Amino acid sequence: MRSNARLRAIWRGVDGPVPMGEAHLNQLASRIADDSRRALRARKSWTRAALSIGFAAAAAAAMAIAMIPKRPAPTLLGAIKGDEASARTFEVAMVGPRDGAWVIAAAIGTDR
Amino acid sequence: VEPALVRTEAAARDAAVALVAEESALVARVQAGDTEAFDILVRRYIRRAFTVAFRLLGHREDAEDLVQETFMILVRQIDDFQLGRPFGPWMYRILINRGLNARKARALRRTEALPEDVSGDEAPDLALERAEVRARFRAALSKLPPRQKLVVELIELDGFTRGEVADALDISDATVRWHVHDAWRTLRRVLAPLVSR
Repeated sequence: MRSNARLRAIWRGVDGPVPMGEAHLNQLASRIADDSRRALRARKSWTRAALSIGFAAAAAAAMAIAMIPKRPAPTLLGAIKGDEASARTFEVAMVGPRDGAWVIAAAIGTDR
Repeated sequence: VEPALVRTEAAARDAAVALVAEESALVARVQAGDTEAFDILVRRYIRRAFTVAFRLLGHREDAEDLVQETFMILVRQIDDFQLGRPFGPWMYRILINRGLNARKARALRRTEALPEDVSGDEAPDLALERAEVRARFRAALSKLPPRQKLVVELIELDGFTRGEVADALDISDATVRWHVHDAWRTLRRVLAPLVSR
């Protein structure tokens, strides 16, 4: 459009592109390069630290689990002696009475 | 369509594909911790990034801060970058969103006048007239929505192509055309006395 062209010419006659010196841009780029180097280095060491912490935590958890004393599985004999009687022990006693053991087991079951 | 035009368009497409591939390779190196690769990207985009930042904020130091802040965000979020996509639009998107927010959020220092490209021996009355016309243009531009003002300044003063502006603002070419058309309509209306005198 003709009026655009005329206005454009006037505008460009009084205003122009954003002024930037090459030296000024280099300075800014160097500053950004320094900061980004630090950020990337920090990111790398953070990743390494996070991995180390993860491995250490996993190892500690595994050791802790290994150190937990194992409880012996409940047995009928144990139940008779007053140890914990699992439902399974009780059932085993019920289906396999031998020498009157089921009576004792039934008594323990009732008691619990 | 003329064969020469088709060839030009095909060449431009090939160049764009090659650029994306090259920049993806650079970003992959940055993701692996290569600081030099990031430096290459910074130096490739810093001039245009500064231009956009200055147009948004109107002040050299604010623009520098915005550019620096943008590149630091890019470093921190580099793992989020999808390889195979162009780097420029990603950078501009962060820069422009932060720039527009900064304009809204903080009371910016007074807009710094761009250095004048006139020689020292310009007649004082001529310099005064130029300053007056420039002020009228800036007043007219301030009536435009921020994105529209940015579009028209980047195209008319800074030599961006419509495609570059579309990429930077993440809008279609048609939207850029509409912004330019609408901006000129406003400028023509507000600055009509300038043309008629």
